[in-house]
Amino acid sequence: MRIHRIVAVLWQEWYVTIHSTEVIVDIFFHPLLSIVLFGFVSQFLSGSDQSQAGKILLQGLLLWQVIWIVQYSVTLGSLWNVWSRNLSNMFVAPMMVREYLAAQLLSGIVKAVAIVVLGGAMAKYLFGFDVLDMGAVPLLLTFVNFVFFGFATGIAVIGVIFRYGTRIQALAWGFIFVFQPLSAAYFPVSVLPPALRWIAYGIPLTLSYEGARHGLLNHHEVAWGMFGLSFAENAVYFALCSLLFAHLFRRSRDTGQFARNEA
Amino acid sequence: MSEAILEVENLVKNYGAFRAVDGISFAIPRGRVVGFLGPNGAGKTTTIQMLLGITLANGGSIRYFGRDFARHRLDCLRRINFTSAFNTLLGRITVWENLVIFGGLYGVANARKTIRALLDEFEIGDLADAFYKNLSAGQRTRVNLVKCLLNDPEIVLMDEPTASLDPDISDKTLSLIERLKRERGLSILYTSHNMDEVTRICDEVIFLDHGRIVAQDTPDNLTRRFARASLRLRLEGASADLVAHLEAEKLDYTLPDAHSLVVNTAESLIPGLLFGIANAGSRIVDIEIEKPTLEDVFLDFARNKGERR
Repeated sequence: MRIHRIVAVLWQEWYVTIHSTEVIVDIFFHPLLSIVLFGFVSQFLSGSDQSQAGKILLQGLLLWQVIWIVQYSVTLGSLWNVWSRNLSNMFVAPMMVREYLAAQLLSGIVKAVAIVVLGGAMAKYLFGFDVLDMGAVPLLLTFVNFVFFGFATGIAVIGVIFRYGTRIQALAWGFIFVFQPLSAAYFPVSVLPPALRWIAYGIPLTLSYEGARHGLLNHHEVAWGMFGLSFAENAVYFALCSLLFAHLFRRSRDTGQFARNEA
Repeated sequence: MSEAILEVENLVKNYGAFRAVDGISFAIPRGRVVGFLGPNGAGKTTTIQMLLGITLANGGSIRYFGRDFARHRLDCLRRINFTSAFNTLLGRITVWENLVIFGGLYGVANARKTIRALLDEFEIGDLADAFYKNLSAGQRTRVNLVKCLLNDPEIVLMDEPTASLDPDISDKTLSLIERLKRERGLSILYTSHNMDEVTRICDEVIFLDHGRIVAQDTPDNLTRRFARASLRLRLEGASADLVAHLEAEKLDYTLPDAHSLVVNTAESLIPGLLFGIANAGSRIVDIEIEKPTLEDVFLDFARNKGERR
């Protein structure tokens, strides 16, 4: 991998972001508005007998932004090139696919950090919720886990779009939400019916969310077992998504769909 | 023949049961401009896509600079580039920003200096800060050409670069391409539907039809080989002997009026034909020869799909 090619793709991400109102709105406006909304819900709940529920809700939302923004960044980065009929120009440059994806990952990480910092600051100063209440280590472990989950999902979605065309580009915005109900983002897994819990535990996000909540409710205690298992699941999920992407990317070039995406 | 920059051997592409490219082989020597022609669906675009690696071949080999493209993709791509009327750069960022990105992707040393020099060379330095989406078709074509020269390529694949340009801008673009060929010794694979421009800039033309190469020669040789010239004569009067002579020679002719004769024939037969007409007792007062063009050859292929081999 060559750093100059990764930097070039990062420049593209930067230029597109600063010139696109809709990207700025998508990246900052919607997540921060959600935090305000959930902040009020959190304040409402803090007055009830479920005083921790508000914190869990706000923490769940803040962390969800990490998954969402990384997946969104990875897929939208490619869709901008498809929409502009620039994808072929990019891929006939001497660039490895993994360099392209690495740049998308880095771009996603930068955006995720920006959202956590900004959203965290808003949550703290507007609603008195400190994202570090879960502990720095659980936060870091959850962040890393969610970045890789968002990235893995993102490349799977790009692969599907490369293979089947932009008629299914809505996946870029919506697919990640398939995981939300079962990943126990806003509530403990125990809330789910027993039959669904085992499915939930099969999703890498679930155990990280449980670990983050454990840190919040147990004075920063790190649930190493949960995070360890979550990382292991994530590794399997990441490997499967990478294989899926590689297969779909190849099929896309084999069937001619890759070039037709720009027609 | 000089060193081959690109060698294609027995290239095959199937889309399901449909064979889009059927075992084509050709080579492009250094510094030559080769035109790639054929009716819609002939396999031109699919071939270019395979030559760029964005569509995978089912068989055959592609070699750039003597190296197998499939095995040395990055090394080859560093030394080639591509421009097409159908591919654009990112519209919502500026020309300069687009070019900085490709400078980075191609690992261009002193990229900013190179971009500035190329923009000046193509007389579009003042467009550097313009958003690409706001450019005219002609300006975009020039920016695309700058992009495709950033890495100082040895061969450029051009897919209808003048499509949708008005004649004046198209002419200027062709002049630029001619200059690139002359000054940089660029090899170019050039597809177009405009026969005049292919005749103007191509050293050699490859005709594709149904995924096969049906002819490959210089534009001049192709027109000589396939098309017929139209000989228009103004006569003092068409005598009965003249008609008998034309019938006896089994010529394809018409007599639009009593003083005109039009004969469609091979260019090489014209001198003998004139001699024969004169001997038949008809005095020729004016001669007009409509030479065949590459367009005639193209139309001949398009209308006789698969019949002429």
